[in-house]
Amino acid sequence: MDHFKLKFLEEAADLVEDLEKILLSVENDGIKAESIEEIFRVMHTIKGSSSMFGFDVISEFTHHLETIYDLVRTGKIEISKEILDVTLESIDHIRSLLGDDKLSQDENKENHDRLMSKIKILTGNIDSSAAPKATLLEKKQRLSTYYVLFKPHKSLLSKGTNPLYLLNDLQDLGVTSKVLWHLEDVPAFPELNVKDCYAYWEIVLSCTQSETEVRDVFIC
Amino acid sequence: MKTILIADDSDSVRELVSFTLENAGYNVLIGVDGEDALKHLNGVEIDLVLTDLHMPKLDGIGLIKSIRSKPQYQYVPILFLTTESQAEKKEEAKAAGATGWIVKPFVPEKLLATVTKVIR
Repeated sequence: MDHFKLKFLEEAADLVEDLEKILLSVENDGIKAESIEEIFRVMHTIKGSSSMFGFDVISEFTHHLETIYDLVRTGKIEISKEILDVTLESIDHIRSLLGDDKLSQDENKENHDRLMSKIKILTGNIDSSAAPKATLLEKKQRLSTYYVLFKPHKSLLSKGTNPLYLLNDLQDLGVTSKVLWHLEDVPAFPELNVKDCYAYWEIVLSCTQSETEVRDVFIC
Repeated sequence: MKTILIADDSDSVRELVSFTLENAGYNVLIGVDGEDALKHLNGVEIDLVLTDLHMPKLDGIGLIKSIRSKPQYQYVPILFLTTESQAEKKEEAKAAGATGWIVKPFVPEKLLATVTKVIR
């Protein structure tokens, strides 16, 4: 196992311990808004780090668990004994997953399915994974045409970004069948601020990438 | 050598990101949360900030706002690392002054490609 995965496992074990301490303090001292925020943050960290290092089951599980606390902290549902009980059970389960992320042990698999069902009931979530999804191959082969209006903020240049690089990156994604550039917003010389970007572009792009991948060019 | 400030409360993510960036030739400064990251903004020249959103003491949005309030760092590109898919969270970070984001999980190549794009 590589160094980073081991580092994650150490960190996750500590975070799970932190989570347990917070929950015990909630049981002893009652629920405070800070405790909910802290539980959410710890789960969020476990979710993010586990996804980074390929612990997909842990990432998905904590994502669902985190959703409960997101709903609580945004006032959409109230914290309840049932939620706290599921969370405590989940802590033990996450500990097991740290040693068995592929759910190869029957006991962990059964526990996982049982807890996931409870969590989904609590979040009112219908299992969206049952819906048919396009396979990665199908998605890759599908050609889409996008109309892109690239109208950068005036401060783009002063933030160190060259819009022409972004247009090049866009072109690399597929075929840009039409590019219209607009300079009508460029003011007369006395009003011109050379640090401002006044130009904007309209592009018609055909490519196999998803909308998210197209947006990634602009990091937006 | 370009300098990148990383703020993330996850030891493992911080270590992976700094390892990737240092190997690519960047000088890396580290903050274990938003408050800790702010300590590096003491006049030193910073070319990019990479920040997590959910951190103790001072979160990513607070850090972005603090950076933007300092004249020297007003125009430093800021990317946030996030697992958030909600548009409103991204909008909140953008409104605070972020340049863009990188969605977790990401592979080191994606991280470097985005960093290069922002500070080239």
